[in-house]
Amino acid sequence: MNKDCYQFSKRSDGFTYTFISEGIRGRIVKGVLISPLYSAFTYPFSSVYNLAFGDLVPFHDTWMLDDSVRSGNGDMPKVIATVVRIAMDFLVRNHNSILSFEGYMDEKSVLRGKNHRNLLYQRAINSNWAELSKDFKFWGASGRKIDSYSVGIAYDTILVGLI
Amino acid sequence: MYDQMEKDKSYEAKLEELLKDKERIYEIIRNSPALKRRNEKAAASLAKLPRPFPWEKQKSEANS
Repeated sequence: MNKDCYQFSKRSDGFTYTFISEGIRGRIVKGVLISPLYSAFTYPFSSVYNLAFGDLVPFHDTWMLDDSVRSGNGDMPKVIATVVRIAMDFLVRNHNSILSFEGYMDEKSVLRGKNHRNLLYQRAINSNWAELSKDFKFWGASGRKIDSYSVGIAYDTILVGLI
Repeated sequence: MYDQMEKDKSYEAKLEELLKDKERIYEIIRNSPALKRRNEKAAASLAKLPRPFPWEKQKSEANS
């Protein structure tokens, strides 16, 4: 993916990532956590992981991670492109894994009946589809249905694995 | 306006302190209750989907 991205760093465990967003509101530390959803024993052909992310915000004398915040830093496409890049980094190192991601539904998204973050994830995927679909296989899930990913359809959850 | 400037200065100072310790950042991310909740929600969404999953089918076919 050649989109403009932030440089990220990852912990030695390979599941925890961070990067710094720099925009109109200054610097904001972003955190990405990849966690297993089911064990390889339950799903013998692959492990499924969830990707979640948010902003580190000051909380009393410490910091906490808030996944519901709209940062308003004016760089959302770059942030989303970085998260997608992190997902790719993880999958390349974990060949038999499937990664699931589902955006946070904030009040605005609920009112509009659309998952704003998912739309941004999908925009990043769709605009790089020719390149991404060479190496990665995508699925989209809505309710109890899961299908091969189609550009132009909005999904509740996006799942991706290496081809 | 003055309050906002003070707030911004205080945020920047706290941020500088935080950025000195990357392990602390990782710990905050790993121990985040918000991300744990998201993980539980994702597990619940996945559990609703019919089995076998498409990738399981593909790998099963490839292995047979």
